[in-house]
Amino acid sequence: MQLLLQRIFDGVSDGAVYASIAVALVLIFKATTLINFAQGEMAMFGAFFAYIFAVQSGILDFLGNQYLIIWVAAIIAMVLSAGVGITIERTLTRPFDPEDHLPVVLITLGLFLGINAIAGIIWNYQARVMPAMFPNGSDDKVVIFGARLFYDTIGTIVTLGVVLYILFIILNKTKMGLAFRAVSANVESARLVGVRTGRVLSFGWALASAFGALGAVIVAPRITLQPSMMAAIVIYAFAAAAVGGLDSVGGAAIGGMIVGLTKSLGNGYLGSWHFGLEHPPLEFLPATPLLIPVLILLAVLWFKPSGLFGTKRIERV
Amino acid sequence: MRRMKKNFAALAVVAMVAAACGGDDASDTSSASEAASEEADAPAEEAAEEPAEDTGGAASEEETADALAEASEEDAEAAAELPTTLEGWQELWASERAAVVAAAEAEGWGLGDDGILVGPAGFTIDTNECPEGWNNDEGLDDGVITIGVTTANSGSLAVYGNIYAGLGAYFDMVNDQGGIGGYTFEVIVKDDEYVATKTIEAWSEFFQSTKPLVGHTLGSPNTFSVQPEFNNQCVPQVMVATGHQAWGDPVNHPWTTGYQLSYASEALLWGAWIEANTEPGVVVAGLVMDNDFGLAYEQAFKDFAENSDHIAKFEIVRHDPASATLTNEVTTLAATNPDVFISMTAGNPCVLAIQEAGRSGIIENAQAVFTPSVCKSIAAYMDPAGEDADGWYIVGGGIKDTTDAGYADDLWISYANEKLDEYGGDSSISLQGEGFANRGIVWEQVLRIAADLEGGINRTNIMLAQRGLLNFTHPALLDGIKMNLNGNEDAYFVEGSDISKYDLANRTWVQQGGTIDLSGLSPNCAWVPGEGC
Repeated sequence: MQLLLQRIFDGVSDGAVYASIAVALVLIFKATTLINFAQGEMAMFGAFFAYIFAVQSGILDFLGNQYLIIWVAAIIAMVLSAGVGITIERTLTRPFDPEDHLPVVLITLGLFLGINAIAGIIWNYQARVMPAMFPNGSDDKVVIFGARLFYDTIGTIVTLGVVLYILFIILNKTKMGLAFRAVSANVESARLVGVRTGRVLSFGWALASAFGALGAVIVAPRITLQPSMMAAIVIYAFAAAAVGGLDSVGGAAIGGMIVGLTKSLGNGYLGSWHFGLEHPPLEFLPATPLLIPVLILLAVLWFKPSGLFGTKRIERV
Repeated sequence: MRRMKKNFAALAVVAMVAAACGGDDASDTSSASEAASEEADAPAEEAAEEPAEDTGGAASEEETADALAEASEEDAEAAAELPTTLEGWQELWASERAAVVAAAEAEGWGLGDDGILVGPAGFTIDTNECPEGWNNDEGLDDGVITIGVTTANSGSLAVYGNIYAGLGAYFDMVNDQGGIGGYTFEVIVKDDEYVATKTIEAWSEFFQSTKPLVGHTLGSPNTFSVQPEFNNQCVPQVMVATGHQAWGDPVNHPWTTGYQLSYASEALLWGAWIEANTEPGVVVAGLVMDNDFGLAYEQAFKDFAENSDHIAKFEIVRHDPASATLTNEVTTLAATNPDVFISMTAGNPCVLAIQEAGRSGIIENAQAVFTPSVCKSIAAYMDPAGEDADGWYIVGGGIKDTTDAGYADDLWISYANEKLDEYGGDSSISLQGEGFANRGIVWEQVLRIAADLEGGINRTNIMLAQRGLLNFTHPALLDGIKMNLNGNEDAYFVEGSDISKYDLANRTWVQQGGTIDLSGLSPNCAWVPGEGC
């Protein structure tokens, strides 16, 4: 029971991380119907913005209030990342025909490699200590039936919930949100009715970049701050976004949790499940942690290609 | 839109299946690990009845235990008399080089007219078997010697690329000082992302176009992937950056040399320490990186555990080298209530293993926790691990980490850090210090010996200089640990180690007892995938 609960907590903890990046992927997809392969690297860059402000500037040493400073740093990083997102949209993707996806996908792949290399040149690949937004020491936990639930996991989930609520308000209760949804539904029609699609696309990139950066700032203390920090996480985030539905913000969050939980429970139990045999036939699972999310992704896409919470599209002939 | 989703889904699935299937290992690794796993569950009593076998790549268990016991009774401060000035060191190294050259002249070592390289202790290479057109002087064009290197410069183990930033800075310094034997040096680095297939691609390009005089590889799976080609092409694969025991095979792979303490020796020292310092019946948990590197540790320690009636159980969980987190894996190990936890991983997972061991309660409950020698760097691994890093043990391979506060006043370390910064490096980055202070000096010594041998610097003389480097006093190794190879008799440069404990408050590894000396005790290892030495 204790181990089961611990694995659930582990899964939720990892799932919250995947969800935070998956939400950013979905925002870009909603705006452009494209996958931004550079989302993880852009988020990593955002985390370095926060690091520069909080640590390299010396403010943390000077003032000493870690949580206040890192939260302020996270907000600054979100703003700067939003600016980077707008710049990328204006300079690299807007010149291309929005209906022709291939060039823009290639650009995001190029950005993935380029941003990682630039970050490596600037900050080196040696891991750095990122101040945490929530208490994250070994003692910062609650113990429930012997299982450890850490404050930073709770904090990440609460932050994710707040982010989802803010996004809900922005997308559903504001004029820009309405325009965003119109562009998301049909760029050409939105343009014909007077929506300034360029601004809306910039807004989408800004929003995704900002919340992606927030996700990276939150996870950096757990996985160490270095240019390759998001490489593995973004794969799970892709899976989470696809499972939840590529155009569903809430679905991405739930998809993240599903991926995190199945990875934790699957690796933990299937890898040691003997099936009556002398040795576990699936004991390789912990070494191939991507296998279970891949199988779930396959199953979801097979039976519900739009994802669990994605919109089923019907096109007129 | 729907088509787009399907296309993405297909792309994502293909990418993730490819990632899940890995690809870092030498081809037969999985079978090796599976076979090893089957053996792991054998009851300890049955295993204890089997006689202990000496395997290659490490001293015997008895020799290891004796050396550890002897070192435990010594004072860590006890040291041989060593030079106290840089000039004194230079004189010492010059005399050690001269001794090798004199031995070569006296014993007739070198490349004969018959095309056979003869070295110490039965070491030979028949260059007549090299490919047609092979040139002993290839890569010596225009007075510039090219050294080809493959390493991870991106990806999850990109931090290791720093070693070659440090080594490059070292050669810049050597070049500034006039070079060696009339040559200057250029280190050309290709990024293989720690992916063996990319290492093969990179070396294919090197062999066909750049044609460096010598090559160097980082990582066990990567080195395995190109070792046959190096030996077929008769190109020196020099002092590879991996401690796999397989590199001690001068008979079958004469062109390949290792460098650091072998993982097998390290694993035996873990075992010997555990037997000497814990109560009988301990459960040991191993977090193993799932590639040739981690499996080398796993197999060596498993062999030890099976022959030990002190260790009741050895629990293993392997992790993907590219894992973003190790939470699930460490939770599984924590559930076994280990008395001793050993991290058998590398790169950023070094940090994650320490942190997760703290969060899972392993540190709190275990009698001892070990991090591997490849995770010794303080700035790279111990600093980022935070408070959980305190109190970890290490079989440290005798290396002085250049960011260890305990060596701030060490003559060589302080000089190396100063010069590293002067030549464009960054002494706050541990692994740049490793490349400069630890590896650079040995490269220089080998090249200077080769330059002084008859024929000067060429491929065979570089091999001879290494195989005959009988007694090099390394300034970045702990006192009492010499670097030496001796032809076919001694194929491991470093066979000594410290056992140290991390002191977080002072940012230093505190040596526990004296230096462990296993010099010359490790038999060669003709590695067979799936079987071992």
